[in-house]
Amino acid sequence: MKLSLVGLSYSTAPLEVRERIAAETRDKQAALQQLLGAGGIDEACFVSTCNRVELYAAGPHDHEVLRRQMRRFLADAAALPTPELDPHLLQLDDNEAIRHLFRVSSSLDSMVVGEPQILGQVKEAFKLATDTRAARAELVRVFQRAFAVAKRVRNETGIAENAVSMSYAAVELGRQIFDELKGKQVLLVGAGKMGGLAAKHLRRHGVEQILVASRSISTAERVARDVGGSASSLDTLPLLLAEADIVICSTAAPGFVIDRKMVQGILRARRYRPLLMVDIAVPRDVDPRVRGLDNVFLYEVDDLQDVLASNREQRRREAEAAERIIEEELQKFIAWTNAQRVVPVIKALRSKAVAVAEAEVARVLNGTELEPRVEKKVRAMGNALVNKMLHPVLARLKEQGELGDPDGFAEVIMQAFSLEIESLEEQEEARPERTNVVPLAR
Amino acid sequence: MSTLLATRIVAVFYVLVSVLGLIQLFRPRRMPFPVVAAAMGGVAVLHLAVLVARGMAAGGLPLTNVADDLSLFAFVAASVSAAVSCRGQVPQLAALSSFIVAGLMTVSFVGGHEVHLPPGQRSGWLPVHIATAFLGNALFMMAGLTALVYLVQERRLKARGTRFRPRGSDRLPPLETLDHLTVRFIQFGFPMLTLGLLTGVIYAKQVLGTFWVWDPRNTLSLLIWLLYALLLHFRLTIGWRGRKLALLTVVGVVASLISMVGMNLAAVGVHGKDFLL
Repeated sequence: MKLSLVGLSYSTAPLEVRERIAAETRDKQAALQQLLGAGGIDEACFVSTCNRVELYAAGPHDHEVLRRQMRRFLADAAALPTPELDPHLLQLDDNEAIRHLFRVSSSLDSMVVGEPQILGQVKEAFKLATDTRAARAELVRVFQRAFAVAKRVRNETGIAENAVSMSYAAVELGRQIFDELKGKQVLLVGAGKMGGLAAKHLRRHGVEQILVASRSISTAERVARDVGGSASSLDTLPLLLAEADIVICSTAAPGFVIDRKMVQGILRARRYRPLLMVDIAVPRDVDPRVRGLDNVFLYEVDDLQDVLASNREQRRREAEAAERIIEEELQKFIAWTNAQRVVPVIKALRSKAVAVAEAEVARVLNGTELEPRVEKKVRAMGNALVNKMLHPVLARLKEQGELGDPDGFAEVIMQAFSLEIESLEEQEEARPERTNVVPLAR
Repeated sequence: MSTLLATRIVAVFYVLVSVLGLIQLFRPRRMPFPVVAAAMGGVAVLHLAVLVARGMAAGGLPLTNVADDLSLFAFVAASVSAAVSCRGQVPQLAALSSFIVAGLMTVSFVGGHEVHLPPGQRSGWLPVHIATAFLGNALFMMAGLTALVYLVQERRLKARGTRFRPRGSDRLPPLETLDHLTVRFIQFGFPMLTLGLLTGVIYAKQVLGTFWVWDPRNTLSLLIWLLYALLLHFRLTIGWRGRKLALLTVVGVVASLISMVGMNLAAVGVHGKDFLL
């Protein structure tokens, strides 16, 4: 069984191409059926997110057959001739494809490394594939292992724990202060682009009310339309501050727009509810002495960059640790998969030898009247001979098996002992329901 | 097996949970929060069984000696913190309270002998007095712990960026959650403490002939009651919260610990050596 991956992501293809493919393949079930209908593909899984479209397929023939079918499928969806699409495609086989899936599931290949959504998206894709029986033995093994690896990466590294962008930092800070962002009110002071981005990001995380205050009401209205909030003038700033939970400042004003006295004055009116202020304006909008007030949490650009810089360094270290885990798990998985291939040979060899020994013992014992004790010993001798003779052969088979049997040792053994076994694929067809869940290496 | 022995076995279990708690605080990745919370909850269930058995043996509230009093206190602290941790609001709570619970249960080893009150001091009000006062104090203890976590988180958030990052602090719950829980604990603990004081007064009238004795324990308890009354009052009227509220809560808890354990060891006043209240 061969496994291939053909896909494209934010790092390989421009947005327009990804968009087109995503739109064309909205019905994922139909897409899976179409893939399985193409010749040479036995199993398929279709992972599609806003940042990537990836096809995983397994089949009995060559990798090139799998790749060609998947390339054709993607080219059709993108309405591009194959040669034009090719440079945007990531094409990987077997172990490389498995490593890629491990990395994607563990969020190492994400635009925002460590972001948590990707695992759920891959799981969803996998669920659809198993529900429609598009993924069976081979892909089930690989994907389940990938989920286990992702879990291990999550548990053993801090990769998912830190923020990356300024908007993300604002959300993270909000999360550390407030029970939940849902129902909180955001006040945008000024019409800076970063402020708008942060507000949008907060909205995606459950913030419902966004107020925009700017020196000119028309600018405020424009930004409010953009972020989906309502506009207000700067004159009523203290009133707005008393209502808000999160304040993001990004005006172009030369001096402080919000001073300590103003904030101090509204504390009681807001019943001392915590106030998160993010000042991303340069020069600053908020008097830094606001920091001294209880229940007020002010962060400036440098603070955020402090957070981000330390996070970047930390993330780099965590990502390295994660890559090591993935490599380790990949090797374990390869060894395990390889070993599976020699298991039938080992079984056949052992059962044949045992059968021979038992037959010979039976022949010798036939008609003789031995004490049960002696008879038992003769039988034991037969077994012992088999085990002692076979031990080095079996040990070597196992060892070679884990390495992928590069010298075709299993084949030699099969010929030497004239063993006959059904192939691994046939065994799988015989029991497709069974999924091998491999215990994770620790 | 005597129920006193069973109580001591439970105490040993609590010490083991506190070891898990210690690992949790210093090696957060090695010891997930739910493990400590579940262990704490498990021991608390066992503890409840022992308490019931002891109550049946005593024919009423099992509060005949110091070990019993502390045991009830520890049970409340353990079960409440396990529940709060399991719900995921403050996952650290089980680990934090495990130290206090284990400590108090160990102290109970020392003072575990039966107390035989002279007939003149027996009254139905006594167990009610002890139970409510301990319940109140146990809830304040929880408030103190969440307030402590609040102070750490607040300091961390105020310190901007990287300057204050104690180990494991990146998993602390949000400030608001901690604040709400602290107040919730005080809200439930306050009526209990009030009831404890009132029943104490009635009991004092019965056996001592006077409503109030100005012994250090009573004085301190009254002060603590006043402190929490003020905290609650300002919270409910003007929404007072934040660092100062957390600090005062912790101060109150330290005071009640002193009043519970310290004064008992020093054996001053009418509460004497044998009662922990």
